[in-house]
Order: sequence, then structure tokens, then C-alpha cells
Amino acid sequence: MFTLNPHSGIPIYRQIIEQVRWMTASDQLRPGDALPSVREIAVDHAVNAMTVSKAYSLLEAEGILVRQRGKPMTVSADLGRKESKTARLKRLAELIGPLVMAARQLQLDNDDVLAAVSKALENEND
Amino acid sequence: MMRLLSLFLYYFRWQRIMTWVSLAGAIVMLLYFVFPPSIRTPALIAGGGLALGFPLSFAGISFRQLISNRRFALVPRLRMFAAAALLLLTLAGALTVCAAAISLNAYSEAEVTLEPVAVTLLAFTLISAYVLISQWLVVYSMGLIGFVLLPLVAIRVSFVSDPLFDPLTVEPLLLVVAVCTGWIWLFLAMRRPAVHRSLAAPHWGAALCSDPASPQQWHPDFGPVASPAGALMRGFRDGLRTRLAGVALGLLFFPVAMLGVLWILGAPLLDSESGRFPSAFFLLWSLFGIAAQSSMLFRNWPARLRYLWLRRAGDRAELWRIMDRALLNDLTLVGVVASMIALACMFITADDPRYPLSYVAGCVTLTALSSYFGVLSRASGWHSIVDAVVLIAVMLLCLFNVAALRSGDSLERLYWLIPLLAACALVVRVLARRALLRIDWCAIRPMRITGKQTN
Amino acid sequence: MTETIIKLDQLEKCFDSHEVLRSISAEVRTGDVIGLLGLNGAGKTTLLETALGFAVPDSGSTSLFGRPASAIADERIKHRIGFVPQQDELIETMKGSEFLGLIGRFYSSWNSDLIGRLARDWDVPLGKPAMKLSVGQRQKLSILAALGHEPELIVLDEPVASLDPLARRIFLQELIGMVSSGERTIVFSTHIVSDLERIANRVWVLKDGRLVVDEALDNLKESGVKVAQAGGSRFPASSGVTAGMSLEEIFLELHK
Repeated sequence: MFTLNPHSGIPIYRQIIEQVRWMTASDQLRPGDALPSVREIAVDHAVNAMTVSKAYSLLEAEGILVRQRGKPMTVSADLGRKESKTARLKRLAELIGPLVMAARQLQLDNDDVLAAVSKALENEND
Repeated sequence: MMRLLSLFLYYFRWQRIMTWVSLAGAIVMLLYFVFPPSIRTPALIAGGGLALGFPLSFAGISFRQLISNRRFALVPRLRMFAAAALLLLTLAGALTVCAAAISLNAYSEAEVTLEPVAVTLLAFTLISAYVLISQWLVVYSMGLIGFVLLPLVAIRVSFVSDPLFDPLTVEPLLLVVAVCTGWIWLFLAMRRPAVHRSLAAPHWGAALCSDPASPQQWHPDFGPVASPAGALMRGFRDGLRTRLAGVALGLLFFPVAMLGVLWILGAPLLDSESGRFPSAFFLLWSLFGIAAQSSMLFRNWPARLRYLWLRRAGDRAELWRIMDRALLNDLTLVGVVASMIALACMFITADDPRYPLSYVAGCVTLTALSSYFGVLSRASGWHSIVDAVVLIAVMLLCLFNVAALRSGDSLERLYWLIPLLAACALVVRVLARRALLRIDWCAIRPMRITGKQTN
Repeated sequence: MTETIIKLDQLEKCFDSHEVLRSISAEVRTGDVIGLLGLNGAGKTTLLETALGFAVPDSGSTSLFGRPASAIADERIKHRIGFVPQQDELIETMKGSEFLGLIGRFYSSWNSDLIGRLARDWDVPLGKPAMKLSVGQRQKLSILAALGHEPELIVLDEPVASLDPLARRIFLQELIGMVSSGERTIVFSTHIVSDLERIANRVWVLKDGRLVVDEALDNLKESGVKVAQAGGSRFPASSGVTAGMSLEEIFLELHK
């Protein structure tokens, strides 16, 4: 399923994560598809099972994969929504960066900045 | 039929070479009248020798090779055919020898009267003995001994008269019986397929123990020593039979070999004064033989104990106890077998009985000393030269004392040697234990089969 | 449940006044697959064997399952370990099956089915005496003898040096299968860096008697290496080692 190159400078778990992301983005993996078990991948590609397991856990944390008890890891069904939320958060991160830098230059401490942001959010929700 | 014949003559390459050579010899032999009269008889003898002597020397080996080869196991009646061919070859050889002896007699115009029958019988006996023994030795990878040693012995017997072995005075009936027994045994053995014995058996006893996995071979009453641990230590299957065979080999090989060498060289074997077999020398050589062998054997153990470290319960003190038990076990066996040899000597030679008894005591103590010293030396990382030097020094000490004794003293003078050796053995044992408890198995590694010692 | 299986603390060892191991401290936990890299003669064998109690360290301590390694007497601890030494321990005149039977008699939990399956998969002829086996077959037989009692800790000293690539791959797959549950620990030393990159999750590099690298493999690749300088403290990489290098390049870079 994957093409893994243990000898590249990229750790194996990162290669797996990248490839799963690619496959879900290009529809090679659809929501509900089951992925091979950790042990299968480990033995087939002759790589450490812990690496594969780490990749799966990180993908699960990202929300791309879903772990169900007794069943193999499956691609998450609500991929679309999670994907855009991640994208949205990325956009926000682009704005947070300058905000933090500005706060530093103005020599405001963390509590002040957070209070200001919460107040702004409250005002928005009103 | 012709194809069966070709198995003997043409199948292996060395057989082909041999066939050509003996064919050449046969031609020379048959066409002997072509040669000028002066070299006619030598030509006849040389041709006959090549034609028949050459194949005869390899006959035993060839025979074994053919009947052990699995490819031929299905050929009907091959074994009987092979045995019959061997017999015919021996007969032909004997007749040729007889003819050669007669013509040589006529040629040299000596006044020796030869009885053709006696000469043929003698030749047949000797050649049969050689052929039968060499083909048996091949099974145990000792074919070379038969090939080299037995002809030497035969030459010695034929050309040097020796009161110990004068076959012409031996009862001809006895010869006939012995020879017939040998051949009948061979033919009977050929009824069943030859058991393909492992030619790699490094130790006589190892071939006696067949299946190490079956429980009854492991003699549980000997404790954990006669067991997997012992096999790993020795490097071959362990068991009572192996150890007994090893001890017997150690006690008997050296003296018998020394006697054989002396006999081949033509030195007088019997004591010139009393005309009896000098059992003292035999026992002395036996003593040195077992001491040397034990030293070499137990020198391996400290390094090989590493094989037990992760496999067997116990810390280093326990591993020492295992090795100690095995050593004491071997010492007991040495005592037992030495006693039997001593008894045999007492019966055969009717010498002073104190010789054999002190021999037994000397065997046990000297073997103990040399074994524990071997362990101490290896565990401390000393070179094997140290072992050899110490062993030779101790032996020289004993020899010197024995030699000094011969000039008319009583044996009691030597009695102090035995307790001294025993005391030394005990001291060395304590030192060896201490060395083993500290042993560094990274630095001291087992010797490899190739003989290279890593570190 | 992770416990510390092997703990090396300031381990030092000299041979003939030549320091082979200098102040080595490291830990092996359950589930780790540790690859030990080093040049020939760097002391990999000494490190592994001292950790297992074959030698007493000159100073410092080694502990195995919580006990000092060279004084372990308990059989239950010893039988949790499987060791494949660099020089095989085969008995020359015994057939493979007999030798495995012999070794099996030491252990109460010897799995002969496992051994039979592995011997078939790895193509090891069990009917020939050891002196007639090729070097690769001997190595495989040694490995079989160490795996039969299904140990928790498997220590291998250059186990695949004589195996061809196909045999190495099959062997690695078997090892990975054994470790995949996370209950087993493997420590192995090798020259063949490519095998290490597949199977190891932690890398030790032994150079000049010191453990200059003791890192998870993923960290090594992602963030370069922190090289242990003389004195034992760690500094950021000052050698040419950067992120994104293969393990072989890292190893070569360290030895420049």
C-alpha cells in the first residue's frame, strides 16, 4: 500500500503520514476504507511496528483515521469538516504570529494579551 | 556383469588412473620373455607388483567407497559381488607373491628352500589382514593409518626375523582359521547394507552414542554432568560410553603407539635380562598419556563454560561446581580403567605387584594435577606453553626418580611422590577455582576447530 | 508495562591496559529495538557481553532485569534472555536437529514448533552436521538456538553479517513480527546500517569507547544529532550532521 524508503532522511512514520494524507486527498482512500493493521505493514515492509503505530496514532490525533475497537483503522467519515477546520486554524495561525510579535514589542505580558483576545471574542459572540 | 566390473575399474577417476597403471604392469609381467634374461625376473616381479600390488593397496578403500555409496545401494547383489572381488584379488595377490618369491629364489640362486604352500598361505594371511583392516579403518576416517602403517608392519614382518612374531613357526591351522574367520565375517556383514557411519566422528566414543535426544542415553543418575551441559563442554555427545572410551584411549594409546614404534624400528621389546614384557615402561607411558590428554581436554573447559552462562541456573560458583563434578567424574573413570589395566598387567607379567598399584595411584593424582592445572592456566589466560612446560617438568621429575630407583633400590622410596602430587593437585584446585570465579569470558574465548585461538 | 531491562551506569572496561569502554551509560526499556553501530574493533561485542554478565566491568555497573549482570544465578531471569554471539557455538559433529534438541533440554519452555517453522522458512538443513553447513546456514542455526525458548530480551551480535540480502530480509521480518506486540526487546549490533534503519527505534553509536549517539532514530533524522563530546556533556551538532540524512550518512559523518 505504501512506498516506504527507510534510507531517506525522512523518518518512516512521517512518510506514512504524508502518504495517507495524499491518498485521502486524492480519493485513493475514501471515508470508511480500512487500512492494513500495524503488524501487516510492519512485516510486509520490514519496518519497526512502533513506527507504524506512531504514524497511526498521529493520524488519529489529526482526525484523519478513526480507531474502532475490534476493527482495523479506518479512514474517518467526517473528513471534510475536520479538514476545513484544520485549514481554518491554519489561517488563524497566520494572524496569530504577528499578534504575538506585536505583543512582545509592546512588552505586554501573556495574561494581558489573552484577556484582550477573550474580550474580543466575547464581544464578537454578542 | 560388465557394467558391474566397470564400477570397480572405471567409475571414479582415481580408479581409472589405477587401472591404467596396473594394466601397464600386467603387460610388462605377461611379456616378460621379451626382456633380456638378466632383467627378466625383476621385470616379472615389478610388473606383477604394479599389476596387482597397486590395486591391492587401495582395495580396502575402494571396497568401502563402493559399498557405502548410496547410489549403488540399489544395485542387486553389489555387496556380495564386491566382497567376492576383494577375495579374488587377495588370492591373486597371494599367488603372485608366491610366484615372485619362487622366481626370486631361482634368480638369486640362494640355497633357501621354499614351500610354495606355506609362502602362499602366509602371503594370503598378510594380504587378507591388510585388506580387511584397511577397509574397516576407512569407516573411522583412519584409512590413512592402514595405508601407511600396515605395509610398513608387513615389510618389517617379512624381512626382519623377530622371535616375537615368527609366522612360519605359527601353527598353519591357526592361520587358516583366522583368515577364514575374517572372510566369513566380511561376507556375513555384506548381507545387510553398510551403515553409513559419520566419518566425522572425532572420538571413538562419539560413534557409540547414537541419539542424544532419547532420555535413556543421558544417564540421569550421573546428575547434570552427563547431560547437555557436558556435551556443550566437550564438543561432542556426552555420556558414560563416550567418557569411558576417552579415558581408555588416553590410557592405552600412548603406550601402545610407543610399543608399535619400537617394534617397527626393530628395537627389542622384551627385557634383555628377564626375557619378560617390561610392564613398568608400559605403565609409565600410560601414565604420561592420560595426564597429557586430560590437561589438553580440560584446558578447553573454562572458556567453554560461557556456553552455560545464560542457559543454566547458577552463578559462576555454580558453574565451577559443574566443572569440578565432571572432572572428578573423569578421575573416577581414570581410576577404574587404570585399575583394570593394572590387574591385567599383574596377570600377564607377574611383575612386582607394587608397580601396578603405584601406577593406579600415580594416574589419579597426576591426572588430577594436570587437569586442574589446565583449568587454572586457561582461566588465568596463560599460554598453552606454560601447561606443556609444567607437565613435562613434572614428568621429568617422576622419570628421574624412577630411573634413579632402577639401580637397585626398593620401591618405597617413591611413595612420597604420590602424596606430593595429591597435595599439589589440591592447591592447584583452589587456585583454579579462584581464577574461574573471576574469569572474563570476553577475553578468554573457546578455541575454534581450525585451531586458531581468538585471544 | 515498561521496565528497564538493561541499565549501564558509567561502565568502564579495559583489556591489556587498552580502554575499550569508557564511562558508558545507557538504558534499554521494554519494547525497544536498539541498533548498536560502530566500527570494527570499537567494542560492540565487549559492550553487549559485559551487559549480559560475561565479564565483570572494571568500574561502573551493569544491571540486567534489576540485578547485577555478572552475578545472576536465577534461572528464570537467564531464560528470559536469548543471545546470539558473533562466533557460533555449534557442536561440529552434531546435526542441526540434534543440536537444537540439546539446547532445548536446558529450557522448560522450548517451542519446537516455532523452530521447525523457522527452519523451513529460513531454509536451514537440520539433517546435516554443523561442519558441513555453509557460514550463512550456521548463523541461521545459531539464531534458531537462541530464539527457541521465546525470550523477552534478544541480544544479537552481528547476526546477519554472513546472510545474503534475501535471508536478511526474511530474518528481519521475523524479528519485526516478534517485536510487534511491544513485549519483546531486541538489542543488536551490526555493520549493515540499512537493516538498522528499518527495524530499530533507537540507535547507539559506539566510537572510541564512548556512546556518542543514544537517540531515537526518528529524532536523529529529524533534528540532526547531538554529539557527546569528551566529558560526557552534550552539545548541538557541530559536525556536518544535519537533519534529513540517512543513517549511513550520519554514521560516516560522525567518523570523519
